Amino acid sequence: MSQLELRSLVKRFGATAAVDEVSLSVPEGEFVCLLGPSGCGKTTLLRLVAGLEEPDSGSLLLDGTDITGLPAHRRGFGMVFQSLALFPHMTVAQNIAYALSIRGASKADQRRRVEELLRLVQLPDLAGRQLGQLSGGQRQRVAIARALAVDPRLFLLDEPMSALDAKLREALQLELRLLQRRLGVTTLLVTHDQLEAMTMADRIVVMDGGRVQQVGSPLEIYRRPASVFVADFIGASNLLEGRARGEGRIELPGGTITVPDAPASGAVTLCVRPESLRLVAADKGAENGGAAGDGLSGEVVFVRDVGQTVETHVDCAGQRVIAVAVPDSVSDGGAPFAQGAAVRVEVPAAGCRVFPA
Amino acid sequence: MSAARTPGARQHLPLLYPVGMLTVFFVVPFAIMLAVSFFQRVQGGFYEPVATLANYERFFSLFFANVLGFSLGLSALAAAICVGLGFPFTYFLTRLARRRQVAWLVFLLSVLSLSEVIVGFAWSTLLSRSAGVSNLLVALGLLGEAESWSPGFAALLLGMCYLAFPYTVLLLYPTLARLDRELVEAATTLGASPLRAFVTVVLGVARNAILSGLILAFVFTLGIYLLPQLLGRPEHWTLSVMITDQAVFQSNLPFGAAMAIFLMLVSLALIALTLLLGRGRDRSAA
Repeated sequence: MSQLELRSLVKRFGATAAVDEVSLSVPEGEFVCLLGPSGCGKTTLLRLVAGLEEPDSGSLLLDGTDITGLPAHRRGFGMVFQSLALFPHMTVAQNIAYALSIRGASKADQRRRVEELLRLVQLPDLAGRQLGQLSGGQRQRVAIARALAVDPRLFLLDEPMSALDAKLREALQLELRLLQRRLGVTTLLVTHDQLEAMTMADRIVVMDGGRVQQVGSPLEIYRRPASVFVADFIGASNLLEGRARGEGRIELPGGTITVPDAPASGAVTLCVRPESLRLVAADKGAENGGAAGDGLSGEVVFVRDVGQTVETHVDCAGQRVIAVAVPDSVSDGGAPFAQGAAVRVEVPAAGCRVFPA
Repeated sequence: MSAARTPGARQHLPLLYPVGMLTVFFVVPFAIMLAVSFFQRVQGGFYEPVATLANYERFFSLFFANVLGFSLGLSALAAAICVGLGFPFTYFLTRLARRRQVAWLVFLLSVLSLSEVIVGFAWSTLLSRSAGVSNLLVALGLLGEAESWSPGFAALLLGMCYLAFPYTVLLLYPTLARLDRELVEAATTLGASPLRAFVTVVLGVARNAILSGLILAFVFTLGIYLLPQLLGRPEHWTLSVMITDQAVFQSNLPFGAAMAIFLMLVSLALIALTLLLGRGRDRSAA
């Protein structure tokens, strides 16, 4: 329940900077996800915050106090590790009570707190169990309960769900988010799974190459990615290579579209989400007339109809464009386009982001 | 039904080999020794098959009680030293780079190729006054004049630890090499100082390996019978030395057998006690 501030943190391993000048401010009670591909420095950053690694330069502040040199065991943070790191020679109760026993709490206090925490993570009556008797999801909850045992000032999680199957993961993500909101504990979670980040985070920090690429709310990052990397990493994006022709006009294979804030000239990359695109039959677009000029013409090469959504792959003069739609709006008649159909891809300017290539 | 049974029986056929070998080379000799321990010695000859408890009765004397006590104490001390040094050694070994670990393990394994005789003579030379390490210390100015450190209790203990140490390390190695480093880190984030984390987590996880290491070093050093004669004085002779003496030099096979059986029973009882204590602590902690 504290405010964390990172100031120009740098951590090098040999010649490579795993964390490169990272500055970040996390307000009290916020849930922040560090998101990025493997090797982007997100785990190192979390370990710096936990005190398991020492930064080469920069500082860490907690509620305005410098904690850069404070050893991990004096920080009073709770951490859930990727491997969970549950103590195999202890029972569930002993694992959860570990931090309490280190602090010299009485047996009765320990027992009371363990029961309280087990109820909190919805695992009552498991206190006496050995770890080997637990399922993956139960072990996960025990690790969370252990990290929360002494009301941590900061709650840190390093890819805690990576070992669970998809369904369980989704359920636990929701549960963890609700738990965090109820406790109001400032939380930092590392993940490479953008859905996980979007499900849980108040704010997402996208990292790559040891640097922060973008910080923002899940929707901000999804709708207004700050770079081609972010657009590509978060969700699905069409990344179309084209040339700026001035006055917002961008020439793409298969047509020209207009995006108001586009650069005046040079090669550009246009990012547009598949669900922003609208497909119309080629002849109808021509009939309407008005649509001409801000769309691309192409040919349907593949249709993936999974019932809930229809994904249509369109070949626009050699460049693949993917459009996703809920079935009824796929085409005028409600039925998906057939393979080989000539279509017009309408690209709304509001859904586009243009970056100099 | 017989058709179903035949392949099953044939499947178990390979088991006959180890069972046969064990019977011929372990069970039968052991049974002979057990029987001989109840036979009567023939002065100047071998023994005759007359059932008697005289061999065991003879053993219950103050002299042999002292020898037994000394043997068990010496082995227990050697086991404690081996594990006490071997555990931190192995812990730091597993934290080295892979290549260095292999170099150390190969070195330890090569020590195992040395026989008790070679190790005994090497140490008695190294600890002697005329050619030993004390001369080096004199040359370095750390010692006034060369001293003889062998034979003596410390020399004997050193030799025994030298023989048992590699086994202890090799036994501890797999457990400590598999130890997840995140366990120690987790303990640290939960408020344990590095020392506290080591004691509560590393020692806790490796408890069974430590117990096995203690038992292995104890039993192994209990059977050593040449070193006490090479590095110790007669008062340091262990029960194993006595057994060899009776069986080989006094040609009193029945008494030697009786002592061997007794030593085995006592060490089995001690091991059982150790395991019981280990498990008892486990249960009370749970």
